[in-house]
Amino acid sequence: MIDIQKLMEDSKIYLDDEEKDLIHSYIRDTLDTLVEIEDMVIKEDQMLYIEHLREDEPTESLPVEDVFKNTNNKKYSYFDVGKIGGHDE
Amino acid sequence: MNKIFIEDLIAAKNEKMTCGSEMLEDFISPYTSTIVSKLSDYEITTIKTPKEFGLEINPVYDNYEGIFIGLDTVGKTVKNVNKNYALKPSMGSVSLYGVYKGNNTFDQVIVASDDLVEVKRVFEKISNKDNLDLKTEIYESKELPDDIKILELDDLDIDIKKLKTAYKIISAVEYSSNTTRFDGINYGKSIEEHQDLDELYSKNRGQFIGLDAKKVICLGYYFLDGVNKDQYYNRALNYISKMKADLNGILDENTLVRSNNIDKVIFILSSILGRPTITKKDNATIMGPRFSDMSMLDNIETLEVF
Repeated sequence: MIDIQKLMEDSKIYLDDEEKDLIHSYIRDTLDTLVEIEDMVIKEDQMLYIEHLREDEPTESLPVEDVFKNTNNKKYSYFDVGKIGGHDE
Repeated sequence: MNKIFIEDLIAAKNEKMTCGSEMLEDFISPYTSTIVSKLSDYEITTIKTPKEFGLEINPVYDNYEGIFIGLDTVGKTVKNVNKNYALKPSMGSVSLYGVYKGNNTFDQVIVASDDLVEVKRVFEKISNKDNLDLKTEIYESKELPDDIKILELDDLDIDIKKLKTAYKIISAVEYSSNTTRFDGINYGKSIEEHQDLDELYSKNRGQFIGLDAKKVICLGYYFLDGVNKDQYYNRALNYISKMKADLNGILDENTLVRSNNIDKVIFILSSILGRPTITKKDNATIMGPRFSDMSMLDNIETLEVF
């Protein structure tokens, strides 16, 4: 089942109703073109690592101002690569 | 001075780097990629890429009078840029520092020109180890042997449908993951009205990312959602790893693989195996042993594959 509302929340992309329909159709059509690939066993240590990462997931939204404080640019920000290395030093 | 046109997925300091997206239409690159820094004796013009964050859906290019350097995923850029010769170098031969990649596994820069000598000259300049890209290696050119063996792509024992399935899954997952950074805070435009951070991310991405990109991003999240990760993504990764091991056993240092046209499959294989391809317009694409790029270019006119 394709839960488009959940995908919208996970991907953090707002979709209007028309886009939801289009994306739902796109995913459904894509899945129809795929073929079965053999099963595999996930290594236990991989699963433990994934679970470990999930423990740090935030449960609620942080204040926007706090997040902006940690960036260099308020509007079109980037982490200033030039300061930590590159061809322009 | 010869002209080089580079897609604006490749960073050039103080030049626009839109990555083909409205989200980054005002973004100015703060630094220079290794590729551009090594081509200082060329006249470089940055062009707006038709591929949003590298999403390769039949991109439309102008007819550029000069050399073209851009990003290719499965041969559509090679095809549509319409040059006589296009080299997709061996993985690890060219530094991708400062190059935006939508797909880590499949994307590679290409050098295309109507003049074979220019392709060689540019490749010679941009290939080698770069301390800013840990995936690069010292370029030690491998010579093609005299008794080169040529296999047709159709002769390889591979399940094309499974390969394409694995490609579709992995590329969507990587694309969705790589575009996460475009949230209007780390990178990209930002709207003014928002209640909280989640709404800010959601509205920024909803407003400034194009529909085709949204489709692939949502598909990537679908493949990673809960049990789907085991059902699709992990199986695809496993399949690719197994195929890589199998094919490396078959394709030794004396083997070229040829396809009659610009076949998506040969480009997927070249990315997985890290091998170079050369495409001659309206003729064929060949894939050679890793780091045989220069030798293939030197012998392209005499090889009996075109």
